Amino acid sequence: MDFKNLLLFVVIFYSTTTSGLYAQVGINTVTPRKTLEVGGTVKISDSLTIKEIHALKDDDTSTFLIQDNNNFINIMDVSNPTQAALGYIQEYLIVNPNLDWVLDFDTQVNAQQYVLNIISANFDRELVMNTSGGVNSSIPYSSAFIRNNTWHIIADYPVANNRNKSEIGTWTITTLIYSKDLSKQFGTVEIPMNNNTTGSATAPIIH
Amino acid sequence: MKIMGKTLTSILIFFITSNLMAQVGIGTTTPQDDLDVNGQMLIQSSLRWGKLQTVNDKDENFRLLTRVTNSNPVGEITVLNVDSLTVAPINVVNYEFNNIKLDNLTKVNLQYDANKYIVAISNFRYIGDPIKKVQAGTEKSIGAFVSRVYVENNKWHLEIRNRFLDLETNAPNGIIYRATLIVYDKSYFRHLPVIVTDLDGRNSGTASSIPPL
Repeated sequence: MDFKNLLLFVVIFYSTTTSGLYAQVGINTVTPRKTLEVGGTVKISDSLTIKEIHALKDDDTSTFLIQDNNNFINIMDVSNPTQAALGYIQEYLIVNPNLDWVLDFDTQVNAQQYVLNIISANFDRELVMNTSGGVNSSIPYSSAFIRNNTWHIIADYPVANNRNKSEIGTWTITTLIYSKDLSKQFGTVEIPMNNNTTGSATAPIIH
Repeated sequence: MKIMGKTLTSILIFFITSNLMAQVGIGTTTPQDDLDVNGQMLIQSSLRWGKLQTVNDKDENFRLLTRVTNSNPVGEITVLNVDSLTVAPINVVNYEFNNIKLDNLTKVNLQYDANKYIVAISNFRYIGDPIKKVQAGTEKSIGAFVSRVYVENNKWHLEIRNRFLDLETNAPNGIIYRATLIVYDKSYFRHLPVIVTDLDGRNSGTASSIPPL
């Protein structure tokens, strides 16, 4: 704090306290509403400790706080469509694939910045088994994977396909997308089952 | 005047300590830090924080900070404690459906307001008798099994069933469905518009657009 600021500080300090109400201090304001009110910006070079902080209540509306690259504390306002959110729900309608088969659908979502998980998937056409006279059965699967730094989707009923080949099928695939800043990637855990049906991981991934 | 006395002491402390460590107390004569505000602080414009410690991987009980937009004045900083809230950013609810008509949950109104929440289905379990394949010409049909949530009249609904086949009416055990619904608060998560892509009969392709993230 240089001398000029110090002087301003003292002057405003007097003007607000001699009102005889509260020992409140204003910087760049003559009507402080709190113990200290700064009518401008604040920069704290070191750390900040808040002893008493209230819990968010049910009827409060709120936004998250984040710190940007220049140390500014910013809000994350999800209601503003051009601002970031904690996560995103993106539904994909994949129309007219090869019968029921989606081998490689590129969402073009950047895999270095985001994680994409499939949280729901369904196909809308009746399926028939196409091998062994139909004695086999099949269950649908859908999975997200990374290729060339973007998230891709595979979805299929193995060895089954549309009963009516002229009908156009649609996969409805819902994904949850969130920033890698909020999540940690642990890679793949391989657990050899040694021909048993029960087993155990060697160590928990998260302690 | 008592307040004046306190004020003078504060200023005195200010001057004395400024020769040494320049510590300032507001509402306290014994500042513990460079600036110690014994009360509330209001900042009208931006806040910059030079050294913000990062949460290390041993910290487990940290809480996210939120800024309240309906406080007076606007902007009170609060902590997000999910125990003190009825609705958290992510809410996990288990459901069981029993005594179902054959295999068909055609439309179950979950009542969640689609303006406030996004619902996802997870941990789906099918417990009970199998749905038998039926002859379809020279092949056998397995129908198509669907488990999904969808919005109708601004409420989230659930459909779980084989849309084309039914459980046999004399199946001894029937079917129970279990699922976990994840309810995301739209204050934190954004529901993006649907992306429709026509693969034109191919098994590979690229999305017609990239979601605005």
